[in-house]
Amino acid sequence: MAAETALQPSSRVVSGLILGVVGLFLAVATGIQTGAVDLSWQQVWAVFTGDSTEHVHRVVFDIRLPRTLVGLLIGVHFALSGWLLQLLSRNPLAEPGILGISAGASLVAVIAFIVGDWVFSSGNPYNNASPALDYLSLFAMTGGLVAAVAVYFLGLSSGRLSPLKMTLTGAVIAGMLHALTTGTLAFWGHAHTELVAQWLAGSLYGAKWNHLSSLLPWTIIGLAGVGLLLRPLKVMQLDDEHVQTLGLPLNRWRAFALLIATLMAASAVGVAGPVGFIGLLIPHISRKLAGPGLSAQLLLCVVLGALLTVGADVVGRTLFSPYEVPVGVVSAILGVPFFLYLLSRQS
Amino acid sequence: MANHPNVPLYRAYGTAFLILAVLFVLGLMAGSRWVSPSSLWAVLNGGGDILTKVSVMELRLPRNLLGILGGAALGMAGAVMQGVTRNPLASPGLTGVIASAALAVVSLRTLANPDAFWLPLMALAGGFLGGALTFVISGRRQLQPERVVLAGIAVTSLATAVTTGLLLVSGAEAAELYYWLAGSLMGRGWVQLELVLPWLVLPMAALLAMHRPFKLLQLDDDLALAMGLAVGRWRLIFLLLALLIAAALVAFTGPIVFIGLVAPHIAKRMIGSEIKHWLPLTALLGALLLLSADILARQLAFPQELPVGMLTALIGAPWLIYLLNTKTSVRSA
Amino acid sequence: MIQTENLSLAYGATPVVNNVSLAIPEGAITCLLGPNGSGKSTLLKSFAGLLPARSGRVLLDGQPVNEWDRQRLALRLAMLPQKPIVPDGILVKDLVTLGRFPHRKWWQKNQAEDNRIAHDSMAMTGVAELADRPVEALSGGQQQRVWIAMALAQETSILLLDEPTTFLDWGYQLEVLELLAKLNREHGLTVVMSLHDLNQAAQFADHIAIMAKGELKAKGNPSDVITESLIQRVFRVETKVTAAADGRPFCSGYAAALKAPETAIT
Repeated sequence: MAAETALQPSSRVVSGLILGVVGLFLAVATGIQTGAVDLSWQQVWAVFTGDSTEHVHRVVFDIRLPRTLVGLLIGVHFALSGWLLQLLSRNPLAEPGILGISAGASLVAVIAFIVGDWVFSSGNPYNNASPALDYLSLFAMTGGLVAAVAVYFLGLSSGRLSPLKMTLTGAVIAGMLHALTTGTLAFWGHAHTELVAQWLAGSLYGAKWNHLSSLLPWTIIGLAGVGLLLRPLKVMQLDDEHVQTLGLPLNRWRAFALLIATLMAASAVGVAGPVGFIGLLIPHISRKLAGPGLSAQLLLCVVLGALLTVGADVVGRTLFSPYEVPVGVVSAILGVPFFLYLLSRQS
Repeated sequence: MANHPNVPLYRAYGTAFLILAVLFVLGLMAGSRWVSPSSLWAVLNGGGDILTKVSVMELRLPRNLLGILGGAALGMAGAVMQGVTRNPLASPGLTGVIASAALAVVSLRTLANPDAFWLPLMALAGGFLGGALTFVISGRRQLQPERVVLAGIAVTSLATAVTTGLLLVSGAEAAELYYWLAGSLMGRGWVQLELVLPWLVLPMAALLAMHRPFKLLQLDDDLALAMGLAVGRWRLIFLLLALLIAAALVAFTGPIVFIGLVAPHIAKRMIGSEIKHWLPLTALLGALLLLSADILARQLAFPQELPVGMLTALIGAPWLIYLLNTKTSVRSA
Repeated sequence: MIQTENLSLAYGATPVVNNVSLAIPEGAITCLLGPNGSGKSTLLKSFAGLLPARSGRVLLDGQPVNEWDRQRLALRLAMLPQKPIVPDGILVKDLVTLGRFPHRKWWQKNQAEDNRIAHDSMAMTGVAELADRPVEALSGGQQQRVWIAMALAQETSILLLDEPTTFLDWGYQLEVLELLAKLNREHGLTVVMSLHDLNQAAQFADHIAIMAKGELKAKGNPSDVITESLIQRVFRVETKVTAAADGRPFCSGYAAALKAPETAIT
């Protein structure tokens, strides 16, 4: 690797941050403006000054704004979770999915749908699902947490956290849960496949203020946790023995970092379903831009994660309007070429 | 590399064959209508009532055969991948091959209305792209086992995401495709067996015949080169064949995971250092695993059928966790 | 001072060190020598409290090392593992500053004093001009000096090094060993390291402990320990031991090595 002589990391970081924030602002604005009904910025501005029609007000406040904000938070959650996991496992290919969070949440979500339907059955299949939908986030998040806990405990190697073993255990459990999810859906799902399929693809469809309020506490907890972790994480980049001889209780800190990563990912999956690739890609990009400084990487993750998710959602909504491509699919499709591009520049 | 004393090989083979035979007979009896041993005997002797006859001869017999052949294929694919990449975690599932092959099939069925003939070809193309992508992402030169796994997970997630997206637009076909995606041997009869046979039997026979290069490839690259083996070329051939049988199978049964990962490990423990027997024994064990999973799939939710993919996952995952906790070679990979 | 009393160590069910009683003197350079698998790395790790004792104990300043509060321990001894991980892209000065970690609470940022001490450590090991360069871009010898600077920044009086020269070119090996000798001479740093090269140990160590198959075979100063009969017993190599220019022993091995079959080492 040639010595970096061009731009100092810090000016790259600053420009990256500025661009990111500007981009985010634009994405949010676009998110509020575009959709099945396109609004001009004057109309949107009118909403905030209390000077608009009932209809536009409703569209912005009940649909677009919460959806865009939820998307923003989801992006932050996944990006930070992925960043933490990549640091912890010392592997740039780690992401929240490897802990089985998405798979566990999906399984519980599918079961919740089916059970909810059975319990609340009435004539209209679309009505059935709504009671389940209200609690879906909670159930799904619990499912994700349980899966992560299982991976954590099964991945312990003689009582200590072994990144490798956890990765493998996570892969196995995630694979198993995914097969069970598909099987359950296939066997018992029947008429509701489309609704569930939306969720399973990772979607912001129907994101409302209550979703935002259920997500926000976790965002605060997560950001606080990450702040606490910043200094210990610097030391944890060294190998295990080295870390211990520097006086850091490694297991305790690893467990805490894992907890924060899990909480952030699980709460996000609970609300939007499994949205892949944000947790994989954003940390990569932020590392490339920020260099080895952890604080800089953190800031970029937050900004870029939010930007990518909101952007992906906008794209998904507008590309085949009025049909929606779920944000999970868009991020996956955007993710691959970007990933390959990043890798080709490396080797 | 084995931690246990060798089970005498003939004992291993014998036991496996015996269990397989028992399972085969069970497989002829099990299903939405249980066929008693006496009825079975009658049918096999040319008699029996027409319903039972059709059940056994037209449905269960080919299905069992497909289960055996498919399980053997998956197991061998996994063993080949593990052997030639010297990565105990390589398998068609964990390298994204199965998920990509499934995606290819789903895309074809959603976007067009293909002849069954095209499915294995499409699956092969998908599987190849997925495997290649995993290979590239994991960093060509390094190929550390954990990186390959993570790359495979990434590729699998991608394939799954796009597949799920496609299902959203597949409309009426969605439920059927979901069932297919769960992996199943239901309804696979003589037609499917005949179609998949050439894709499986020929490559598998070739793999078995090439056991000497296979053994050499599991040594250090430089060592094998020094013994005159064109390492790069042979590795490619082996991987392509493994890919072929795994992807072709997916085209007919849907994605079935874990067999390609578990069967080779169990076989390895039994053969000790006799590498020559790894592939055949894995084939046997894979067949055994899939067939027993299929029988369970038929019986557990009697009279309906669970997708067999659920059962291989339920059986395979705990076994793998157990292996991860005991087998040092996997742990220290 | 580090002491072991009838120490036995094991990884799971496999015993690695068997009943070793050893005292590591303060302010001196001690080398652990022995063939691969002799347990010297494991022994070194137990000094740092990284491995619980199967039986017996390791004492640091009279107190069992596993009873030491970890942060206090980190202020007393520093350890350099065999193949340390270099965090991606990290700069020399940032890596060295990590060594200041035990001196602050985990939530506190580095003060000016920390940066000064890091800078002084880099000067002591001669890597001050490399401060702004990424560690990965340095040569093996330079990287090793950076790691030593990091350990120095930890401001401990004991430094443990696990095979610090094994992966270095010969010139860099001598560079590192001479640096350690200088630090010992001028700053009283207690150095304990495991080495492969008998002659390097003879040249630089004040005390040598020879291990084989988990057992302590000999300990003492170089002249007492490096004798032809001992080397033949432990390493199964025929040697001729002479006196080098500084009076320390120097051994040259014979081509007809490993004559004796591998029997139980007595």
